[in-house]
Amino acid sequence: MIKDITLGQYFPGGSLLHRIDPRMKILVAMLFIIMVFSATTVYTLAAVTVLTFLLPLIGRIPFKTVMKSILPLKWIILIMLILYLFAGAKEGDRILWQWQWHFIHIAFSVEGIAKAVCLSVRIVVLVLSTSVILSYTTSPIALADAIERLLAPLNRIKVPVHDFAMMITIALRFIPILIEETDKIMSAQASRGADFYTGNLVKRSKALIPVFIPLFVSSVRHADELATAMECRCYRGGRGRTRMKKLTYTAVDYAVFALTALLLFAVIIAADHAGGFAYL
Amino acid sequence: MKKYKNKGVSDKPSVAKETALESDAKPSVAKETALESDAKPSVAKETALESDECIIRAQSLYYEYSAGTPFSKKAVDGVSFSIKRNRITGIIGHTGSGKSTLLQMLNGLLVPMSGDVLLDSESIFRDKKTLRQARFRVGLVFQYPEYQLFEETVRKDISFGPANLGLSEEETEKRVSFACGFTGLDEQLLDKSPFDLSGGQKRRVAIAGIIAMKPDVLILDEPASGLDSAGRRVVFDGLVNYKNSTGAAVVVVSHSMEDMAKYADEVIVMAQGRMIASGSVNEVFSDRKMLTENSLEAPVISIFADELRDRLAARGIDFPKGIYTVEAALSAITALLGKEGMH
Repeated sequence: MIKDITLGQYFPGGSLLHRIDPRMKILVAMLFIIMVFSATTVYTLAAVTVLTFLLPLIGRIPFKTVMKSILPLKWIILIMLILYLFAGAKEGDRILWQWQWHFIHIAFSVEGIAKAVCLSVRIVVLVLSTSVILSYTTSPIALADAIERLLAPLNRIKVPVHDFAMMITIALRFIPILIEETDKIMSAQASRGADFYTGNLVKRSKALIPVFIPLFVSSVRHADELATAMECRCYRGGRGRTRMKKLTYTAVDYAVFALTALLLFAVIIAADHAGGFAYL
Repeated sequence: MKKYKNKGVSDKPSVAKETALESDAKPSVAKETALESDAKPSVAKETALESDECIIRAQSLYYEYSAGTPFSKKAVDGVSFSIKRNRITGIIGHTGSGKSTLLQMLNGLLVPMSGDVLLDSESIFRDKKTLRQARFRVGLVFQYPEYQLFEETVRKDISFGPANLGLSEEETEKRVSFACGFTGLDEQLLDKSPFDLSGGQKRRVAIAGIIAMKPDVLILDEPASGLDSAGRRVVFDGLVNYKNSTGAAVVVVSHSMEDMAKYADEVIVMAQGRMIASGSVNEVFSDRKMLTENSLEAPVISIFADELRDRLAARGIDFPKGIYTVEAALSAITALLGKEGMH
């Protein structure tokens, strides 16, 4: 039922990707995004694609699991394919088939099809690489921690970075709890004969009232209890707060960063000079 | 993991247990054995056990959470048993032994990955209709059920189940007072908001919400946890009353061995997703070794009674075996004092 929804996609393991400092991973993911956007020719895009598909291997994540994260993209890709197939023809393109009626002009061209395919590949690569680098191999808590550390300079201009990070952490922490709670309440109401899956939209929305009210009540209760528990342990915001787990960069982190930067540089140069069909 | 299943429950495995085992393997035999048991009357309670018909039967149920991921966890592994009408069956086991998962398969909320649940010898997973039927016939009260209350008034909340059954308003109203009777709820509370009640009252409202559906099998996951002793008694007495007046089967998960000894007729022991033992209270609680191996403990009063028996035996005085409740200990001691007084 509801438990099948993967929100936090963290896939525990001890691979190289898991061990890199989360701050470094955010930076590496950024470089990767720039790299994907710099790969404007077919060859460079192919190279970046190969690189991306190596990532799940390095992170030792089953390919099936990774594919699940790009499955929701199918509609976006489909719409884009259709748009580019019909509207992507420019002057000088090799037209395969066209149809004109007054000012409506539809044309299939070799270039249009290539563009559509390349852009779809680019989206898949973008989502795949960032999700493998960040969501699959980094626990949400480590990620929130890293964001706090990376944004720390904003403290100087009075942005409450710590409080935001704490909110993110708590929100992430509560997602599984609320999912479990929802599941439990749905089961409990189903035991009383509630039916969530049949009937029209109005009936099904109404069937959710017995779920939402107890869920809302228990969320408020959880928040209240958590606030009390935090205050009991003298939580008073980020001021003067030290950490148990200090993040430190290691040689591996720097090496990975340098390697990614090098690859990015290579892709930029290759896209400019090595030729090949430029789809953008 | 050791495989204890159905092994070494007691030194002298009684007829009742063997029959239960047999009936798991080939259901048709069950009736014959029941007839046989009438022919050779043994202990009164055991005969009664056999002659009662079985209402729901679990057949080698298997369930695993997050199958196929590193988080995968076997929750229930090859569990078979049968539950009889007009009995309170207790399920005991350490936290995480698969009790709650097991219960959810009994009314079809979870579909077992293999195995089957038979309600009146018909699989509840056959189609949508049998599944929905099972939801109504097998009432499941979850742990901390007070968190499922949602209506404006207690009356409306208890009516939720009966209304889903499609009962008339008049009949629903009858069911509400029917359920209040068993849960000891004051009818004055009916027009209050469930959120204004005390914890114990909320619990009873939630249990009433299931009882109002008049299930043939009433299953409760730790109905008394977190309640004070008076609250526990009200809940358990209500269950006994419900069983006695409707002839329904009641299944209770509890961590309190005292409550089990006092109220249950039969006990099923779970550990690590497997059924370790099943049988009468006497059979299960007399096997101290099996209980300790599974981080369980016999009722304190029975440990006291055993100690007392040993010390009295040293003085040549007989003290009866099989004492698991305070009441039984009290009457045994009183009887003993009476006898001593006659000397």
